Amino acid sequence: MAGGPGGPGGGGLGGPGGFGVFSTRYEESQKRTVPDRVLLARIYKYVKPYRNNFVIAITSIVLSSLTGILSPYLHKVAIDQIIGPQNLSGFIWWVPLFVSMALSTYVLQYVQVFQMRIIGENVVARMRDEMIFRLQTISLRYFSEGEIGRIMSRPINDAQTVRMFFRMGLANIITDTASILGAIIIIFSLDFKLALIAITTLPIAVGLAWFLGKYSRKASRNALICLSGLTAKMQENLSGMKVIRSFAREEKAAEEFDDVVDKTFKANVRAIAIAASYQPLILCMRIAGTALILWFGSLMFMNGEITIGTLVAFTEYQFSYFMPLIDIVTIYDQYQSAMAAIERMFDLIDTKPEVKDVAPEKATELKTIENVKFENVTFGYDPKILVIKNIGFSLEGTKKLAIVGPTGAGKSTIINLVVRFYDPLDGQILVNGCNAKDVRIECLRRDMSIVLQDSFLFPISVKDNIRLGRPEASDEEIVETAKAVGAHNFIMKLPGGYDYIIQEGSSNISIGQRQLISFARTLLMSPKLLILDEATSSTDPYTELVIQNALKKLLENRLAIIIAHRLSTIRLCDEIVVLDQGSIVERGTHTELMKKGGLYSSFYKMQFKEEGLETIDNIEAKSHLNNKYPSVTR
Amino acid sequence: MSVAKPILEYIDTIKVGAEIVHSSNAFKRLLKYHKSYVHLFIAVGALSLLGSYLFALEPLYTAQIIDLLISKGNYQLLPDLLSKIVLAIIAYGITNFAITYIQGYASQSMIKKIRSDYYSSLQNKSSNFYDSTAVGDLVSRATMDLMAVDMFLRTWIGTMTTAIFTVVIVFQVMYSISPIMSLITILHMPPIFYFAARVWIKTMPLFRKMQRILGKLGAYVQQNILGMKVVRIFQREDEMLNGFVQVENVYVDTAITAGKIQSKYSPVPQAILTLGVTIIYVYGGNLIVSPQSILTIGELILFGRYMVRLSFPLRNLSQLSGAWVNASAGIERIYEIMEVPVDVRDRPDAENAAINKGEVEFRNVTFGYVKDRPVLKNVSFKVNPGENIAILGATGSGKTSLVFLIPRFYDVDSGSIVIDGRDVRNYILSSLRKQIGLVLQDLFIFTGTLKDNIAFGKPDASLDEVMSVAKIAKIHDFIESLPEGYNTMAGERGVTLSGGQRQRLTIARVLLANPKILIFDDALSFVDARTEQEIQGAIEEAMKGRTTFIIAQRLSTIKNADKIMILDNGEVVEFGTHDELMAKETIYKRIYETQFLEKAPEEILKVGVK
Repeated sequence: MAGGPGGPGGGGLGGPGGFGVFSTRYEESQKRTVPDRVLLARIYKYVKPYRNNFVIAITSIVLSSLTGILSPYLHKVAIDQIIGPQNLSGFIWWVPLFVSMALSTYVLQYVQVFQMRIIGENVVARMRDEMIFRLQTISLRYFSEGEIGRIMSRPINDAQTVRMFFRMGLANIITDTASILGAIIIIFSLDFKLALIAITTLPIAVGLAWFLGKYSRKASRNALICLSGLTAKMQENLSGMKVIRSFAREEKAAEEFDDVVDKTFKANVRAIAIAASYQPLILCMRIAGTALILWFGSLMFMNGEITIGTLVAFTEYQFSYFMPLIDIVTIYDQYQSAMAAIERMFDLIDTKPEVKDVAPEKATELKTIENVKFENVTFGYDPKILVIKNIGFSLEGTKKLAIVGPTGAGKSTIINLVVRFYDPLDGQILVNGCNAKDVRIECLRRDMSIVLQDSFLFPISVKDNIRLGRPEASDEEIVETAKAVGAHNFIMKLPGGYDYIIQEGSSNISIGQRQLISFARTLLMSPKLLILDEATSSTDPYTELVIQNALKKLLENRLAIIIAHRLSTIRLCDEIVVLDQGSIVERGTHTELMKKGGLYSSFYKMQFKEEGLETIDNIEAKSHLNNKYPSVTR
Repeated sequence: MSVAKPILEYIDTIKVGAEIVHSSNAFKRLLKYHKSYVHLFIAVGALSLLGSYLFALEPLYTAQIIDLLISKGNYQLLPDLLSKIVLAIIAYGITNFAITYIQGYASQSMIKKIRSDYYSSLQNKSSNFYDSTAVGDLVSRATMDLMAVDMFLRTWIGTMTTAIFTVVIVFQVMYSISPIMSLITILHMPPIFYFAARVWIKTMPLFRKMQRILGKLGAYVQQNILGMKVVRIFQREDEMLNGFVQVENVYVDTAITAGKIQSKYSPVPQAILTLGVTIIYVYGGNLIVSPQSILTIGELILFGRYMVRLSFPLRNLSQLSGAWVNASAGIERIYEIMEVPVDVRDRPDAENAAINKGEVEFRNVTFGYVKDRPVLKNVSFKVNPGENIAILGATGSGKTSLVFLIPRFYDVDSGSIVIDGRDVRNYILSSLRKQIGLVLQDLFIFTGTLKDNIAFGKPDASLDEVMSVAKIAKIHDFIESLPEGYNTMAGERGVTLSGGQRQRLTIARVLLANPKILIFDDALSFVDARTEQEIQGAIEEAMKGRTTFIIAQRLSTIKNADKIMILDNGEVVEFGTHDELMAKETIYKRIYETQFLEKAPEEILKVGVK
């Protein structure tokens, strides 16, 4: 009594599969553009390295289903030719035949299951590797916020769908087809008329299976949607538990949760009811067929048209074509999902990187970055909507450039172009006088580093995070670097010190600590060009001071481009570029811009007036205090 | 160094098969939930008795038809036998439907109960518990693990009774025909069951392991994507790919190990059946041919059929053993959480007292999350009603712990906290918390309308009440400007609120309860300077006439406080007014003198350009 399609027990021997890895599974549309034939031909390329395994597997699948089909026929032979005529000597060949059939079926099935597993796992693993490889090179535009779920479901959920198809569906399709064809051929050759009668209920049964299957899938999908609603509600309540508690609203929250639980309960019971009707209805259809066979078969037997063995064989063959046909109806749905998943996987594999190296013989090698120059650079993520227009600036020696401007002015875009996440639409970026497009990306990025606003850290140890840009760095170097940016003290206080494992989302350390680790990571790499997207979030005053000091250390003897939010940072820069709506509206040093009396200075003054704080000159006098500030943890 | 190292280390800790150890304990726990549905299970038992009987009839009638035909007996009986077959199967179908449905219903009812119990237990857990447990993990226990439990619950009784009844009924029928043949048939069943069950029991733990690896692979890809800029700048692309391949290899290896077991054992039952039927034909053939002719051809066919038919419920039973491996692990994971002790609870003598003044005193308070590692050491201070305290200190200095002790999210290890002369532990927990307004760092917006969100602590509040606090929090005008006003949906699928708007909404929410004590926990750390200005007014308005604790990052907030507290390593090192602290060489003075350096021209530019 295996469950209905998609209904209870749908997981079956498959083990993990079905329900997505993530709480709310990304719903993919099943829209298809590439024909199955093309996809299958391409999949075959992945199967090719396992061609021998594949041939062995397919052969054993076909052979084992054929041996399965033979046994009702041999039963008929035993009844009609051995037992019926009371000629038991026939068993002399019958028994060894049957025994060898049983043994060969075992061997064939053993080979088939094992070989298919090897092929399926390896093919999917290879596709998955290609996708992960592709992820590292495709344009960052694919990773914008709304897209992450979609892109992630390719190597995880889609690959899983295909795995399950390889594991169960593919072998079953072949077994079922072979079984149906073989059984139909045999019954038609046993008796044409009775065979026609035997298959009359088939179309009805197939239609019923198709219809019920569809209906049942819908109901179980609905139950899954309810479950993801439950997941969301629970996630919300648990994440907001402190708020719920501080308002003493636990009872109400529990009531609301119970409502969702109840909704899930009802949807599930409905799905169960539909799935529960599937099995009995299909069974009744089969028995209707059996009854027809017995009725007409009996009449034919009485007329001497068939033997009793034939009649028995007919009732047994019903198992060989009826259930497999119903099975195929279910698998067809699985097949379609697999094809859709394969198409999406290939779609990712085929995505071309937008930024890539020129041909090796034309590529310029760089030892170190000496200067960077933007010449009339224009860019837009969508070529029709320009984000920056005609930007020009240059950096050489140890010059530090500050970029200031409102959100959406194009500050981050400039950074994305410097590191060649994208290439300019117009104008050019020169590095040591060469067009950046001709410089090998590896050379370029080797000598530059970026400190991002969110200071992304990997869920690995603190030590390994710092080592990210220079995997060969020794532990001593790491400690030295951490000391240089003032991170050593707090790291030593973490359980396990440098071996402390950062959690996903860096939730087990504070924002300030995160920034310091990312400073250390960058300092260890010792790049010539430093790019800094300063964090807007402020941390506690202690950490803030340490960060400011670390920043100074970081900027020593380097070229730097900084998106600055703090005056203290701006003051470390040689030139300030004020960006507004993609264009540079003002530029110069802090003093020049103040003298000029433009936008920068008026906003600057307004800020001081509002806050009524001391002027910058007073602070200058007190800057010796910087050296005496307490460290983050004393 | 490898980005996949922690994942690989985690996978190493997965002990395949360790789950089976707690099996009997888990079963007892599950049985408790069956009590309310005993009547349903009795029905399932009765129905499966009927079903097993009906299911045994079809082959029997078929055999009778065959014998009738061979013996050229009374053909008049034929239509009768045929209609009996059809009727038996229709009846069986209905029975089968009822069994599946009733069990599914009962199972879902139990799952519903377990879910509710699990959730209520979560609501009572200490804040400590939440600090150390990932929400995703807690949720997956209520979904994935309970789904595994459901898979077992929705079949187990029916599968067991059907297996027993089928064996008994079929054996009886067979025995009445030929005792020896029936013994031959039945003897094949134990090995069939053994090998079928072996596959499930051996592979299930492997599948569980694969499921977990898959979850880790997903998390890995997610980190890869979220950190893509870092990956590319630090040129770690190859390593990211290698790390993935390493984890994936473990997955593929596990899958192939499972495949080995499946391929070795799963075809065995079929082979045994084929051999068994052979034996039956040979032995039965002999009986038919023998002079006594104690067996008919129809009966021989019947034995062949019964052999196959007996194996069905046994295979289901073996599948059940696999489902149990998963279910027992699942229920253990549920209980693992349910059994975490609750440490903060109402004292028997706690009272529902009102906080009228808002005087807060800490008396020698020592507190730590882990024994012997105090976060707060011997903290004593007193805050007068209506005073506004700014708390400063480095990360880990104990600021958040200090304020969370006030609404008793944690209990002190020694010393006491006294509000209006009464120890916080002598207030009923819910009344204490209702009277303390807490604005948290994460500005939590629940799915629901804006009105619901403001009226969160007082669901029966009138719209007027909601509006009046929204005005104080300076969010009213914004809400009114939305097309649907206070009925606008917020939360996951609702309107997107800016940081400042969320902040003001949270403040309004707190004000509705009109608390005498207000706590702002690091509430402004994610807010930029401009937004801070937006809400500064709201905060000042809210603080009027209330005792306020504010963990603040920016000087403008701190400067306006009545008193400033500097925490360092769990101790109050400075406590006084701005002027008092500025008069001496204090840490506060040093911080103050440098803080305005961090002003942001960008934020001001933004205001100016528009």
